[in-house]
Amino acid sequence: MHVERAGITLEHLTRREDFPFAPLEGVGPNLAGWGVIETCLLLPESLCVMAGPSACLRHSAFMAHARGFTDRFFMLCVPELDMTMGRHLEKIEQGILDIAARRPEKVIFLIVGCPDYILGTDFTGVIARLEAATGRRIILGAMAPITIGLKDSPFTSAYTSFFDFLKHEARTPDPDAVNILGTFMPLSESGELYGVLRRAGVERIRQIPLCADLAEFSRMAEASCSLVLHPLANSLANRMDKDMGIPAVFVPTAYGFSTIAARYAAIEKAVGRPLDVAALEQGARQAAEGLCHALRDTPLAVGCAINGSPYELAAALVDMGLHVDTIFGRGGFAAYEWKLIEGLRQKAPHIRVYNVSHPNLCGETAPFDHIGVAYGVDAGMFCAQAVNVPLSRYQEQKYGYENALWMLTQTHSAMENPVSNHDLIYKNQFLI
Amino acid sequence: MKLYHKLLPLATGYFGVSSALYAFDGLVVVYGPAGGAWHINIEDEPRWYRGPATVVGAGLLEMDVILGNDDTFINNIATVSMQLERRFVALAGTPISEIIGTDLKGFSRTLESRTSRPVFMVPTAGSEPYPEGAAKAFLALARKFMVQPEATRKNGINVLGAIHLSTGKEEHIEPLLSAIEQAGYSLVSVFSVPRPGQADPLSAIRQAPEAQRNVVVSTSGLALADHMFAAYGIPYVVGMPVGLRGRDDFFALLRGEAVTPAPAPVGSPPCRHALVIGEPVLGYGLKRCLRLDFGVPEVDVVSVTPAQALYQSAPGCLGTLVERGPRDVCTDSEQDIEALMNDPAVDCVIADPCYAALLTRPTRFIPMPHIAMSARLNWDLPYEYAVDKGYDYLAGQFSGTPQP
Repeated sequence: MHVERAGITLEHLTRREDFPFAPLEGVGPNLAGWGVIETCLLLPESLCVMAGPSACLRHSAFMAHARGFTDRFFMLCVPELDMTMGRHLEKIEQGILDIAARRPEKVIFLIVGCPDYILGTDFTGVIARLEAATGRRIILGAMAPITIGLKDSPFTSAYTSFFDFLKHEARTPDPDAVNILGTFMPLSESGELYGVLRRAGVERIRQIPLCADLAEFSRMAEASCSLVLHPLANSLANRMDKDMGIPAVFVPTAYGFSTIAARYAAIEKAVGRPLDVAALEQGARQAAEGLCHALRDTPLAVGCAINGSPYELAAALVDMGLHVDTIFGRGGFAAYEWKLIEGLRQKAPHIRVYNVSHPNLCGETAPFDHIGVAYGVDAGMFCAQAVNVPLSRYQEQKYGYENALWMLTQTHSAMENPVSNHDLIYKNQFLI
Repeated sequence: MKLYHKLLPLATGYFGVSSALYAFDGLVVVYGPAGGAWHINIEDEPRWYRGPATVVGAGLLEMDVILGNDDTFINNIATVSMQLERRFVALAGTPISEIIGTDLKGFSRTLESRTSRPVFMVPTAGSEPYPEGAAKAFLALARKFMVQPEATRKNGINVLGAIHLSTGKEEHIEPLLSAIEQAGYSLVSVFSVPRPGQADPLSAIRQAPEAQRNVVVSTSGLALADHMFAAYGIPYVVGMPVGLRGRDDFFALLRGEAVTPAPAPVGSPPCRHALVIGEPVLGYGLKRCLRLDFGVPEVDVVSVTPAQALYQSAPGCLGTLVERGPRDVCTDSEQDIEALMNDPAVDCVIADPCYAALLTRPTRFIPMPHIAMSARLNWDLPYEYAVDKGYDYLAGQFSGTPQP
């Protein structure tokens, strides 16, 4: 079977090198979210100009259009020959001048692609002249998938560049202020984490996507600490810690009760005051019992298109007494994910993990026909007979015990009213 | 330099390669980072969903470019193509290979000798219009697989240029294919719509030179038509027959007859001045339908991909439904198209729904998805263009409530 080459059981996944290597990128719907464009445009009062070959622009334009960023996103088409000859610099400069002349935004991200990255095009002069002529901040970034896995991803770089708007702010620490970093769809003010923090006396909670303008964003410099909910934000948080003295704690979105408890313990330590979460945990565990019952004998699959780590969700489901059969993962592992894998291997060594990018997986559904529920649109791609629960980061951003219950209620809702994986991908645009 | 804001840049060369070769059970390796191939599958190649992985990425990374890990890539491509038992391998270039000068032709030769399978490269880059990539892919396919015919099939027809980026889902071109068969012709091959009962999709390519006529339904098929006339002496007709008169004229051309002047349609026209935006062969088919079936007095065509070759006489061309008007233009400039759409004289626009974002005034807008523009965003929209169904669709639009 072609597909066998794409997977390995957790029992045998003892080193990163064991993970099945994808000789070519078979590409599934597994790379959703946090494109450079949407990351840049999280910063208030910013717009983004992308310059490059039209093929590269088209890829990013889909994401920008699907996410409703059309108004703040512009594209400048540059042929490869012009780039090689360096003839595009003048045109890009003029293009940005024209755009700036009719737009009010204070920050302009100039995003270039792999070709300029490879060529090492020097935009220093262009940016200096543009800043002088427009009075705007011009920030250079790259949408360069060719850099994946080698250094900070383009998304992380873009997110980290926000530091420049904080580093010069006067720093008067406010013990009742906390930053939440790494959210794209913001946490709701009526959500669990807000409630927990407020009950502990944290009055001012700030998230980048909720900042109305740069002035509000700059008040993130006042925070006593930062809570990092997504690895994307770790680099920014580290710089804020190192250069501004704002400590940070990495507490990514989780679904498992024990993991959530550990996250809250870490947050408690970071904010330096007790958090009252015992009742929340007790209530959630009780509510989960009933919700889990219907899933007891159902083989489950977890994909990597979910909001969070597939290994953490799998561990959560296993801890709830459920039967996780399959995980669809990516070739790269963050350190925190590898710890999750090691823990999960002890509990459920039978779970088979597939490299979702492996070309042998494409079009293969029969090996997964026994799966009853698939989490993530990528898992739903392969598990054609399963109920698909997307848990997309573009649906809602929840945290804590509320997130675990949301996952279970979403599962029940999908089982009662299934939406086809095709419709999730092609109509609801969860992927881009 | 082109500026896009409300529109998407159109699909480019290697998207065209993917579209042209998808149905032939090969493996198309896009020589670039993973992201490029990923987006083709997810956005521009909706047929990929739970289907074969025709397009895969080379997964190129920075150090590969710096160090030149060619052997690794050749090994990987050979491994995958053998494991997946594909009928051929096609290598498509990207901006990366264009800039660093990757020898994809050399890759092809090495791969062919190593795998004993047909391997060819298509010289694409990333800025060219998609029909160019599709046309190059068709030519590569023809040179690789077509064989000299022993005999000509009477009334045998090849349909060239039916790539999904231009003609959409198979169901939209199917009325034309059915009409061709009902008119007494047999379809030898359709590039690139698989025909029922073909165990080996490449057999149609091999047999294509047996056809008596070629039909070119998008600009992507023109170069192949010229090649097949030069190599096999097969003449061709250019046109996408839209509506009733278009259907009749198309078959007249196929029979080698002259198109006769049409009587004016009865009744008042549904609009005075229509603007058709999109792929040029379909655009001119729509123009004929609007003028000859509906009596619209003014119809201008905006060809968003190069159309010059359509206006030039070619020795193999028997006839064409392309009739260029004085105000027809060829441009994909967002600013120019916006100005044309908002001309006060224009009271009807037929275009992909993405273009509606450029309208600054209320005007009748008839959706005609162009997959090279909107990809999966409008893939499932209900619309028709070919022969009678195209007429019915437009008639329904004209009789319905105008869209803002």
